[in-house]
Amino acid sequence: MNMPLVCVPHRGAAGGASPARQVLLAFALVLVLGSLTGDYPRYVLTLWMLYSLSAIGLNVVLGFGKIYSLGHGGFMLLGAYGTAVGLSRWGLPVPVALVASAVLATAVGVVVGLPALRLKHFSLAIVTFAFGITLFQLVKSTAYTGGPQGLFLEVAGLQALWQGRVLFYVAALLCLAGLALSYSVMVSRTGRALRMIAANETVARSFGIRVTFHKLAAFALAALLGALSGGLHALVTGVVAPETFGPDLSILIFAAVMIGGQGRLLGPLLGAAFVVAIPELTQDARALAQIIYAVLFLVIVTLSPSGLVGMIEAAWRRARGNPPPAGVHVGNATGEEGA
Amino acid sequence: MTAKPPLLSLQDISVRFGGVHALDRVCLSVDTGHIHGLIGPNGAGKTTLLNVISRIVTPSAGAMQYDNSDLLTVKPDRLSAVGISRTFQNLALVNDATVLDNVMIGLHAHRPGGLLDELVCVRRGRRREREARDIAAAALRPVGLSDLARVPVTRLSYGQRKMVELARASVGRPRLLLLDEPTAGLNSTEIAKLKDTLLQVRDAEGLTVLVITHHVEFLVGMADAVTVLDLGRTIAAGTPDTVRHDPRVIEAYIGTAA
Repeated sequence: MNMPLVCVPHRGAAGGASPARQVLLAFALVLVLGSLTGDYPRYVLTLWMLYSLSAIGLNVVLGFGKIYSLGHGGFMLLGAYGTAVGLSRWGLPVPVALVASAVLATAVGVVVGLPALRLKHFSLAIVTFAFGITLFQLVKSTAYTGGPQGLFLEVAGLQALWQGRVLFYVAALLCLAGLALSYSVMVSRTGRALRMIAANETVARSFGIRVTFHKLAAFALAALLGALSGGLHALVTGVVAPETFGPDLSILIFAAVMIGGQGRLLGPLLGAAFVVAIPELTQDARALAQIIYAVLFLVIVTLSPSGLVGMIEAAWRRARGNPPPAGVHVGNATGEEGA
Repeated sequence: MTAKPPLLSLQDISVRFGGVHALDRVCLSVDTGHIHGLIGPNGAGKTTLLNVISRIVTPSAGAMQYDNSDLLTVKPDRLSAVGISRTFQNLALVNDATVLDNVMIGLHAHRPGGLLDELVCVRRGRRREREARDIAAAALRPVGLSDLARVPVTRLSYGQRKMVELARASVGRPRLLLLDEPTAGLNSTEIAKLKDTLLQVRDAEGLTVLVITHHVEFLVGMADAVTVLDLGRTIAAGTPDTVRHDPRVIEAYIGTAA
């Protein structure tokens, strides 16, 4: 269990506990909490899990590949509307509708990514943003998807199952699976390739890394997790409305990844916690939630490029009185005497 | 000296950027097992030539063979697989990764495994990672960075980072190693060490090296052959000593050196 630490390709790993252990501990905690609390807190926790799932997907693209995708809400929309249409128009069983819409979104991810991922930085951000807006306008103006009102899902029974615990467990397990997935990307040949691509595509290519393939794979993976999250959102809330999946959702998830810590395993969970918690805490004033979120984004991203996870790791090291990760002064010392 | 054909051979390679001739009918031939120096003043086209060989820049004219086959038909991302590897003038490391992880990137084309593989066969994926890690760790030994394997590269000195690049380029056991200014920014101790390392690796693995440098002394006693470029043209070729005393080279490059 300790071995993978060696190859965890980010700074934090040098000082923190084993990521796998961190994750399992955190999840045990969430599961216990979600099982014991009342219906409403459990509903909020469920939302947290599914927004986390979406952010975990975006983190693969944004955090590892430094691919600036601002259209992640579009994939959530596809998952949500796919599930809703599958249920209410075609009468598909819930799992089939969920999986089918996720597969559809992944395919759309590949089709959109193939041309879009040739772009970089700002251009890519704009194109993906436009993708999200296009889908938003499309479902808003199409009667089949319920127009501006959206669609209602007949899932009261499912929601009430074991007082919402079933949906909560599904969301939590999918989130854990998403984390496992992003962990194996992080510590593998694929993750290294993505990081090399992020650092320099030409260099990556010279080492035999297929740049387009890897970017596309990451993008498709993000689409898949985003769509599953959207589908779950539809089931948990019982309604899909265009406004829920508008352009601001893409920005919100983007900000969640940045706030939590891009490229960090648990960053998306922390970021998603804010997405869910801040509106809950400021229910009377929606604008206030937006303002708090914006300020938080500014402060954290300015102070710590590795987000909250980076801040916590630094604080943790200081609290334990550990020196910063091994080899602070190795620079010149060994350079001179190495022979 | 031998009847064997050269490992790498370039004929009349020309590269044009806009109206500028970056390279003008350059010929170059690198023999197997040789360390071949490429020198010339700034703007001579040395890096462009390396970019041509590593298929980053496609020449507007000329031919290029590697190991008796047309190198111009090899795609850039297949370069590593055919045994050509290079370092870059400006450090191109992954800054938020450890030394070992950076070196492991050099194994990408030489080790199996895809994401689906890693997800489905976790145990096999782990074993492969362990093997790759061992190979990478072994590649850190000749450059003297074994103790720093787990340190983030950002904590290393400039010279040490260049050694990480060298380890990353050589970990896949290439046949032809292209080095772009490995001596730039190194102190004299580090340069001497690099020279030892290169000779050692060449002798141990039969590696062929094409190296760009500004330090002519670096090549003396190490390089088997030297090519001198100036303004995109080959102005001299020979052993380090003959090249050093070539009047055209002195004029173009060394200037007033005795």
